[in-house]
Amino acid sequence: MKWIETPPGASAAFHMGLDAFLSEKVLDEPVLRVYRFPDPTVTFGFRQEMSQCLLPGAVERYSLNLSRRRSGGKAILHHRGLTYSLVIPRKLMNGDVLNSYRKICDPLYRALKSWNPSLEFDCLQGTAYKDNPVCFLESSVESFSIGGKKVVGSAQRRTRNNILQHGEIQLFSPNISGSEIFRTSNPSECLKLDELKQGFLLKEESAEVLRGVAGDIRKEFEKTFGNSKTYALKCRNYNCLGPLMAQLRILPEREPGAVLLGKNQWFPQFEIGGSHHAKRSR
Amino acid sequence: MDATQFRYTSDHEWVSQPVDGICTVGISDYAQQELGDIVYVEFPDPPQIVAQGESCATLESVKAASDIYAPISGIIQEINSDLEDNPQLLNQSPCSEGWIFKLKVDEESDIESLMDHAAYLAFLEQA
Repeated sequence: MKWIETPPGASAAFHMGLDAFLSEKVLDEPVLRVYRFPDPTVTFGFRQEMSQCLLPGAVERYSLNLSRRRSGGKAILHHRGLTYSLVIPRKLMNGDVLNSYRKICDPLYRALKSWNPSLEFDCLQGTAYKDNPVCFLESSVESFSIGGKKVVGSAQRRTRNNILQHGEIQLFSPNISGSEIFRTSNPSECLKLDELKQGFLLKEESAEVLRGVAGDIRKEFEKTFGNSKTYALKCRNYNCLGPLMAQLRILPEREPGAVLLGKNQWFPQFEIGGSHHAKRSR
Repeated sequence: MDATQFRYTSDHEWVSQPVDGICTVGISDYAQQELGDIVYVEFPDPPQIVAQGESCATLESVKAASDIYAPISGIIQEINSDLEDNPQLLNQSPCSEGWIFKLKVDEESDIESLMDHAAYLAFLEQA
């Protein structure tokens, strides 16, 4: 397995672009990343309309970063959490969507359970698709919860070569209430959006805890997918990515007036460098 | 349509035999089972020129989005608009009513390079 460390200040667009890039590559082993968005960020499923998910003015009011995922699913507020991303060659992951979720979620669950024994793996069969725009409002096959509150949500994109699974771990209670940024169609959902702040894994935030959780996730994934080496991320023409990332930030392809980027044009040209000496966090 | 007469790709897509140079394209029963309940189809915008192997549509199931690739080169001429309101046709009838698009192929002989039904069944057993 490859473990890739990305720059701490990398934007949402950078991370979504890297996920997209990796999901198209021919890989010989899984690639795992655990990172944190530097600022409050909302990511959208590949087909969601921003205007149908967010309240008017929410972006400006909370200085939200925005980006689109390659995966499906619904909008997620990334704030005071950790994000994981696993890209695994399809040849290493046979079977249907549910089985692949179980195989990928199992090590994640083991890692997070060690930090909060109340964590539950929902593992629901055949959850009905509901027409609300927010991921954390509903439990599904891949979600983890504490006391009925969802704290981890994941999504997949399947390409010819790989399965990309990424997800958000709501590590600490977000400072922003869901009802302040997301649109809802009825009052009961509005109440649930307020309750999203009550779903979190840990209480006390510290850099040490963040490193510890990330290290445990890596360790548990190694048990399932093999030992990992740390790889540096090289980015050709890194300085040229600024304008590209600025374009990504305004959600190409689906929002009126947005810059239209053709398919594949928005994949930054990343390279995975040779492995260097692993500096394990634990 | 008779699935035993289709050609298949390793991406679990089927292609009907061409009629006047036009093939119908869909996903196999194996593919729909693997994905689960499909809730949305992102279509190409016909007429659209596609090269063999190029990603040209996306299916979203309850828990995954999946690329659809052009099985052979040609021009996508028509999409199955019934799927816009009724994407579950892909689960209910993947090899008939759940077809995805019609493709005017550049070279009809290209279809011969794809797996026939027996070869596809053998491919599934190895998967």
